Amino acid sequence: MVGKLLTISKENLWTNNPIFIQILGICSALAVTNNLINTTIMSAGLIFVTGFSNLTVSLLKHIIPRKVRMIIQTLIIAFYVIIVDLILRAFLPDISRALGPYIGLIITNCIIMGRAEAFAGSHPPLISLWDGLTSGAGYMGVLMLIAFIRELLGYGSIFGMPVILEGKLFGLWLIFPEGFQGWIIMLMPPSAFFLLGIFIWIAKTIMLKHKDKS
Amino acid sequence: MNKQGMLYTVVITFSICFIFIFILSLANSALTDRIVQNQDLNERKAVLSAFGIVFKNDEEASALFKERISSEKIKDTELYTTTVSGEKAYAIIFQGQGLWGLITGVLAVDKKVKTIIGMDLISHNETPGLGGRIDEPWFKNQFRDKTLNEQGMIVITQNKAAAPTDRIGEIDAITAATQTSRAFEKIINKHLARLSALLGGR
Repeated sequence: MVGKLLTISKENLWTNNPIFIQILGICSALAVTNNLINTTIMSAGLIFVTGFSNLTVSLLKHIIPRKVRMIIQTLIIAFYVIIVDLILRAFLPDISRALGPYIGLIITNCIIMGRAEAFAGSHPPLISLWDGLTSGAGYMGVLMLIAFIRELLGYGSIFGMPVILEGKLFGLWLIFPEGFQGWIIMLMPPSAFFLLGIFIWIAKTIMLKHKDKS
Repeated sequence: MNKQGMLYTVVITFSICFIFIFILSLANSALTDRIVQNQDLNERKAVLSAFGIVFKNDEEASALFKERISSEKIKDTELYTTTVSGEKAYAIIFQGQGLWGLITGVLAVDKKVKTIIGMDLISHNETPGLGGRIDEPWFKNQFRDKTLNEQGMIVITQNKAAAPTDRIGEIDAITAATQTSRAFEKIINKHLARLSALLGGR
């Protein structure tokens, strides 16, 4: 059992990562990653939704007729997304304001539907929950990395705290010229494309090397 | 029972939909009060900031709003009023189309509509980091005590080279968000015109 959980985690976080292997959920990876705070909350929302929609789909898999299963999966996903949206609007209004339409767009994230269809439909509930949570975590990891680079170079800050002052990172190392200006390209969606491309390249290279050795 | 049959499919689909939507409506009605409260508070805070009234936290904002702001109806339009440095000032809730969606906010002016006292936003859907920067303090602060130009309007431009004294009624645009800047200029000018039509005769 533990071995199985570990295999699933490894697959979702690395060898079958939703972002850089399956190339799913790219739309939000481009849209929200110019700022770490939004990225964190968006990914947390996604982890919650993938986890619980997987659990629910798995629990209901024996009573759902095959021909309407997709539509029921969508209903379940939408259900959890609306719950997240309601909770944010009621208890964290500032964050809800900052994320605006992105929370609603979790519904269209292909990772959730993909996991429900590919995994939860044919596995027991608790393993499906774990699969959903780790898939979400795999998404979060890549997004946080992209957001870290984009926010650092675009705004010169991390989690909204300015860290590049007069060209110095954390006031220690002079890594930029003194009149550092944020890179506008980093704030715009195309930069996520470039960064994602570089990540896929690095990840694939490491994986291939690993394969050669074994 | 035939699980792929028509009757089974319809009944199961209906019941699953019914159960999930029932739970959602319960959650919704349980949280509506809080959400409406948050929205009201958000709007009140925006009105206070537009008038330049400083508050530290939510409680103080509610108290100050009750104490200092009153609403007044002029020709069917609801305006907020208060006194700013001894003079009566008016604020209007504005709404208009941005690049991606509705921009809602509060615009406060003096009673002759010669100067903008301040502006704050309630909601918008502009791109975070680009057009979304209309909600950042550096942009909003430009509207603080801004004298309007001869046409009673503002211009949002990239004319950063000119000396500050030549820049009556000019606001710095947001770099890389030209469309949002333009749309915003239009919204503000439309509401300035509306305010002077409402308050002009007084």
